[in-house]
Amino acid sequence: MILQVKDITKRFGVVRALEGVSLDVGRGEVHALVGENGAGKSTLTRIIGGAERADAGDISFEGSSQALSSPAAALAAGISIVYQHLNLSDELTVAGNLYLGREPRRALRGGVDDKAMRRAVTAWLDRLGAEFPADELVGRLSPSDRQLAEIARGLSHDPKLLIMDEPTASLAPVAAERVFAVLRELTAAGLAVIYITHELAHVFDLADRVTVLKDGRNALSAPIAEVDRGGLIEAMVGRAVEELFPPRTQQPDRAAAPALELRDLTLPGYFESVSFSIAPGEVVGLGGLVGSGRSRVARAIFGDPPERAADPLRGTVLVDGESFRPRGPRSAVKRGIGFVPEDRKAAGLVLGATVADNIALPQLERLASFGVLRRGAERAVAERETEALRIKTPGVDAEVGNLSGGNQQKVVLAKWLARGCRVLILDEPTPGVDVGAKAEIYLLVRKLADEGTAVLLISSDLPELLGLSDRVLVMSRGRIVAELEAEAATEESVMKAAFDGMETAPGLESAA
Amino acid sequence: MSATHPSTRPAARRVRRRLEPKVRVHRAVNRWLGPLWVWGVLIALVVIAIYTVPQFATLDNYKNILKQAVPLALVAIGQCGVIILGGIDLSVAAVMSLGDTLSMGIMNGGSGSILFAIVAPLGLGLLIGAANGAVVAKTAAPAFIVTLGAASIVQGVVFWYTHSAPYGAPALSFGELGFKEYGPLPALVVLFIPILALALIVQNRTRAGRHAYAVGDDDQVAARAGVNVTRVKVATYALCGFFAALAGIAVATRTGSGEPLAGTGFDWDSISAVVIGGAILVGGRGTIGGTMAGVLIITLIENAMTLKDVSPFWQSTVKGVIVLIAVIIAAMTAKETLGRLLRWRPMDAFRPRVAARPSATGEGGAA
Repeated sequence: MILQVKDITKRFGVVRALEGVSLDVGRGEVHALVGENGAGKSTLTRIIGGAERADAGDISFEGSSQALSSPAAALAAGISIVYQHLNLSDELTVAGNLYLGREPRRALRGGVDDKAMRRAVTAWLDRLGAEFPADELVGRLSPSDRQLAEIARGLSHDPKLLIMDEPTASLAPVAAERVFAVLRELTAAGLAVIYITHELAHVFDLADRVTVLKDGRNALSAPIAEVDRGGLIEAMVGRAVEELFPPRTQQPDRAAAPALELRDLTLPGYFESVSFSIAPGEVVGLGGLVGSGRSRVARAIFGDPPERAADPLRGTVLVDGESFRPRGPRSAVKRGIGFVPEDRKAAGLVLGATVADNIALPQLERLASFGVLRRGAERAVAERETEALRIKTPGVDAEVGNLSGGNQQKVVLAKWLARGCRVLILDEPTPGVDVGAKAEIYLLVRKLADEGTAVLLISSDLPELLGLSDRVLVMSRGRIVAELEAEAATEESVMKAAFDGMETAPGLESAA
Repeated sequence: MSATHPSTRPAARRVRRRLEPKVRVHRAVNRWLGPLWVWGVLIALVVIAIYTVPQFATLDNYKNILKQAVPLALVAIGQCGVIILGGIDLSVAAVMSLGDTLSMGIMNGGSGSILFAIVAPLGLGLLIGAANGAVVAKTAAPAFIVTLGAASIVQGVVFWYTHSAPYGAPALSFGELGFKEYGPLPALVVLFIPILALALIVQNRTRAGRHAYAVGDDDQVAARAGVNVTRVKVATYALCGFFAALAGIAVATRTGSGEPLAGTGFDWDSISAVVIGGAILVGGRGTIGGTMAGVLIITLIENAMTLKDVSPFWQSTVKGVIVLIAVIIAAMTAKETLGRLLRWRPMDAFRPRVAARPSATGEGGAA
């Protein structure tokens, strides 16, 4: 065994990221690591890569635990990581990036030996079948080529253990095949690989062993020959759905005019031909893997397109039967669309402002007379909402940044509740939120729906998606690939649709 | 599996292993000279000045412009490094005043050591810069505020040292430097050229230069690649302080004594020069070559307006307008706003929404 991980535990505050996880990797072995989003895969790789320390447990690389004390030590010992989020500097060339921090010097004249760098990098690019030159700026490469450059960097360190986190997420299929071929050659020569992926086909294609993580624990670890696809999916999702979810008291009236309707909404490069409608009072869940384009759809409806989208949004959005052209958050709010973004700190809350200020923000014009804010009215609204939502805060004058994650999220919801909206879009509403606050948030969402708001819920948390939604849509590679009634949907069927979509959908590359 | 292997396909594509020569030359020119349009603007300004400003097109005036440009060029080289890092150094003006007055004070008309009068301010500039860099690298304090504080501290020291009055005097041989000429070139320019060459080589040909760009583009990425981010920052700010002190000494060659406010205005002018030269303040981009074009543009405008007897107040306004235009152009190329503006079809808002197909109201109207 080149790497031995035994009973690792890691906590972040009260969140248990890893709980007694074990993992052994032998020389020349490709070890697949799979699990749902948030199962603890990335935390584990960060610990192995020396970027994070485990709270408890033993971990050793080639019989020593020294290698894992820092990222630099891990790299020096022969552990190289290909990150999922690209780690390349746009302003440097491919060669400059691969040798960043370890540039070869020219023997006599000093300075950086660009020729030697280019030669070494070109050799790796040739081997990986890359079609771009080593002296191209990384900022000018396509996502697929950047990914290939990142893989070339991981390999150029000549590692003994290579950790790859979703290495093929944005690779074109042909390029992925080529990468696999190189990995096979290298593992035959003794390289060990930990391969993290959502693409189960790759697991069976490449791996010798597979370990499944679920909620930070080992769910399964076996030679690849002993498991099948169904078994993997079951190990990934099989858990009890807790009694977190309020019962559906009213059936949404699907015959009524939809509150929100999308017709063939397309954002080239991100998602394609997305059509669905949500009746007033209905909660529609949008499931799928991270990167399938779910968040992009939500943000497009809210009029918040990606910075670099080359083409404009196509298709139609109807709110209450009237066409609505997403032009920006202001026009969306005016038409009654509320949006709780994925990263609440970045886009949903002003952390330095008070609870009252945040709740009043979307409706300042209503709380002002002649342009001057009436503090009394503002406080009254804020106090009413904090009480109704049981937001735990020392007072409405407390800074939002000091509240717990769950309570911050309730403040975001209070913003939209106080204003009232026709359509509420929730993008990952509960990561990092404790169970008690989760239940209260679910109750709120249900209450809103019962009052006639149409809710679009995006969540990677499958029990949440199934427990809260009336209907579940599954996205994969920028398309809707399945529509399931909540009663009929199971975690397995959602995951299956998402994975099947990966393999059959004609496919946008990486819609993240 | 092997059927999809690229090499087994018929007629495998020929893979380019180097960029095309045209692109390579373009890149190299951009790295060493900066964006060519800035040099184009400089040439255009020269042509306009020749035709509109009397006494502009004389040999003496061209020497004058070059001499005037040297101190700003020195400060701007240091500032360029800091801005590539994504930082900013507002203390350069005060450090420059310090360099000027301290060297004059030590020289004291020739009674002190000339060598010490040069080394001491440079060392002090290096130290002040390193302190700036250390605070910026080690704390979350923004460079803007840190260096603003440093500026105030240093300027205070200068006032204390000089009793806020002209102080000290150059040694005779030193004072001549500002007026001596070697053939068609002023001595200051001759001394400046090797410094510029060295700076260009550091920018383009050394690890330090690469690392500065990488840190400026994303310091997390650089750190993960094994770059010592703290060291890069401290070294770059230290060099910026060094260059500011050097610029102060260069100014001293042309004045009869140390001026406590010798550096005033050089903070903004140096930042303007760097930005006109194509740098962006968030870091990762910028060149010393482009900065030199910016320096010449600023100096030329000042010179031309002085010859035209334009009041210094208006000079400041004109400089401000030029910096604004440069920043807007840079921002537009960075965020592809220009492309978006070109694709913008304002009349779309007034078209009926239902029709995706071309209609009589005319898809062609805005194309």
